[in-house]
Amino acid sequence: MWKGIIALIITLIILAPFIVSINEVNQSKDYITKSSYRFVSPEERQKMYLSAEKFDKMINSYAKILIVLAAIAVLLLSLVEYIKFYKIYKEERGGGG
Amino acid sequence: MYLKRFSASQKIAHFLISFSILMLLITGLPITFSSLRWVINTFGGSDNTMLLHRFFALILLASVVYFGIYFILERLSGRGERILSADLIKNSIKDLLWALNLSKERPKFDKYDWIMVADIIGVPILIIIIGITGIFMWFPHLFVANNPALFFAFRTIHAFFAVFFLFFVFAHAGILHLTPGNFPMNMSIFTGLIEAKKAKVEHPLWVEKAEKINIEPKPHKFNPLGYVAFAISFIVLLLLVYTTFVMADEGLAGLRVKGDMFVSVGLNLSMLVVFAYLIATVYGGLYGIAKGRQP
Repeated sequence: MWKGIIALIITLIILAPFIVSINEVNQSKDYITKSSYRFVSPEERQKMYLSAEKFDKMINSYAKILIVLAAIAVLLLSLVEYIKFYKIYKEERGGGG
Repeated sequence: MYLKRFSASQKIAHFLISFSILMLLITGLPITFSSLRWVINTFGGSDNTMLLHRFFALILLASVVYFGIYFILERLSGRGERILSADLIKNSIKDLLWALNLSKERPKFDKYDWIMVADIIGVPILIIIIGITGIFMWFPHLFVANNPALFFAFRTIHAFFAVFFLFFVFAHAGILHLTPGNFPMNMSIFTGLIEAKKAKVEHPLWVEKAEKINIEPKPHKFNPLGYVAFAISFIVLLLLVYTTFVMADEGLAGLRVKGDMFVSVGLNLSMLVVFAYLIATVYGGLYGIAKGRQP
């Protein structure tokens, strides 16, 4: 019982900000670029954007390979596991199918 | 005779996490794939769909945080279950070899076999990654205000794991519910019980330790429709694999895959299957409650 209560209290504390703002998508009521325009010079901003673009392209380059590999792995694993369960089923039912 | 396999906390955790993941896939994938626009229209537009997406994201995060803390506390108080074992990787390879007739004997598993361990450990990790990137996109003024271009990097990671979750759902449901002996639904996770006869074959090292429940199980009826269900699931999975090739071709960021007929068919069929799994999850939850109340 005490474990459940502690877990519930911590969960509510962690999630409270999200629960409060569930219907909000832009709490600052401003476009997110506004602060960048205010505090950062165009040259610096260009540098930041280029670094973000580089990061995004790096993520893409890994993600596009990983998603294909993961998809093929899941497909093959599903097939092998199906065969496995078929064999297990035959064992459970004493050799029947 | 039955054996008690899952606690009430585990059953509730599974129900909440699976229901919210399915709802997140339904409300989230149409943002990435425009050929699923009809789903957004079904929920009454983008605003409603995104509100639902955030609502179920909160349910998912709450479930993971709550049950994560609960299971850690349970472990600290000495009542936790041992999930990892030293020979897990060795046994997983042996198990796969046995399935392919390359090994004579299947390794003996405890309460959880290697694929269940991968689920138990992998799913919370995936949820944490997808949750963090989701929060970054939910609160851009807090997390990407200084460099708004980073938003797209987080979006790519979020979309990548969302697509991976779709694969996970197909594999998980296909393996545990559509396989012979389990079709149409493996009710263990909903009722918390497993047939002793089944457990003796699948989890021989755990059977002696398990709590016995003296209820006579109904005789199992083999249902050949299981073959059809798995075949449909496998074909959709094939189309989704093809989709990932198209996505990779497009650099993943844009995901402009609407023009491809196979992709469109695969995504739309996958959405229907996810809807079906959602209904099955609700049915399983209600069935579990009804059975739990029986003496």
